[in-house]
Amino acid sequence: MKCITYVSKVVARQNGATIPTGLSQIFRSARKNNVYFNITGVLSYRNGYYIQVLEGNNEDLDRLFSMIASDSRHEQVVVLLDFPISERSFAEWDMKLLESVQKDSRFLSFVQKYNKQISSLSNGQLETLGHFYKPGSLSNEKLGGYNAKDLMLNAWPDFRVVKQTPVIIELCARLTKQPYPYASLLDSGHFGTQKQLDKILNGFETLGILRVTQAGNDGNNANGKQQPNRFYLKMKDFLRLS
Amino acid sequence: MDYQKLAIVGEVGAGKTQMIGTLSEISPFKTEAESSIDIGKKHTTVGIDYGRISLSEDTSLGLYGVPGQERYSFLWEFVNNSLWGLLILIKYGDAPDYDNLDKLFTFFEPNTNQTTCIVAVTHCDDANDQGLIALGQEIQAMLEHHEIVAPILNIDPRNRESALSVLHVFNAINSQI
Repeated sequence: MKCITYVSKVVARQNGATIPTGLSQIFRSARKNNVYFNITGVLSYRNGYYIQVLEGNNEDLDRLFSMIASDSRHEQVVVLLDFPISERSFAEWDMKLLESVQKDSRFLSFVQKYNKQISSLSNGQLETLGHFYKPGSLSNEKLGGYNAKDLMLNAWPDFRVVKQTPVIIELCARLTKQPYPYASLLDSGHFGTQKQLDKILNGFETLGILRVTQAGNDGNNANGKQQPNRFYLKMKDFLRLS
Repeated sequence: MDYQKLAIVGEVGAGKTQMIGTLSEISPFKTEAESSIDIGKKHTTVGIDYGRISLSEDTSLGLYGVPGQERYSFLWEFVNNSLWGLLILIKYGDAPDYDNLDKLFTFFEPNTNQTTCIVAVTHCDDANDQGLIALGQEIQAMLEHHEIVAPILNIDPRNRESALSVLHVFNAINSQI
């Protein structure tokens, strides 16, 4: 049995967009080949790159990898790890899609277990791996501490991960527009107690979509005192009564 | 009279007509025709579907369902003016036509025009979680390419509560403009 880990780049479209086309197609189907050949592992996409860890019988895995490597939807396939294993790290997953390998405990255990192999990667390989995982970067990561900070969301959260409640929607709507002072969010009283608000913000931070900066540096941040327009209020009434 | 417009754009079978039927207080004006090819249903939208929601005597929201295919871009032109919101419907289960989606975003330019945009995935009943996450990542990559910050929701246009939840999100975002 062996393990192959590679990183590859999504082929850019004519207009320069890098869309992981085909990803949903892979996960819509039952990944029959993986089940049939008893291949397990994880796959993740981030900023135009894929990382995949494959585990299985040597012959089957080599055959599968040669098919993957020749798939025209990705290029610059860099094999980071290819070594024998005695047991699987992702035995229950015929191919799990991870939103962030850096934050997945199973992947982190895998990295820890094969630290020796990862440490011996060349600088170029480590740079490639760095699109997804930077060794040692987790130890400095600390969530929270939003006092005297401005907050902004780079993207809306995945509502399969974060619960889609009116409070979360209102909060996301504010934070996706412009940097917002944490103190104003808290003072508004719309988002619960400090503990409740921090819990939501921690969730955003874990997803990697919350940007935290020093409060009021550019003077362009929102103060939370704008007046909602008439249409907003009428629509709000309509939705409340519907 | 305070009248706002919501454009609902999507490919064949994405649920535009259904969404308007669920939300509209008037009998929707439909422009469906019998399909000449097998698209999994007998009729499809060939023009603009129209519905309306009255919020008060002098305030209402017009609902405009427009086909997402580029050959109907003359209809995109018709609705793309001072929009309250742009709702893009994507049907789960079919491989999305990203070339077409790209053209849609290029045309409507929600970022430049400051149009509030939401992407909603329909037909999620039989979807597996991994499939939805993967589809969400594909759509998110397209949004990022167009520098659009927009939520991706899973909705059921047949369900009134689900359809209303989309209006709630639009309203929350618009309150910040």
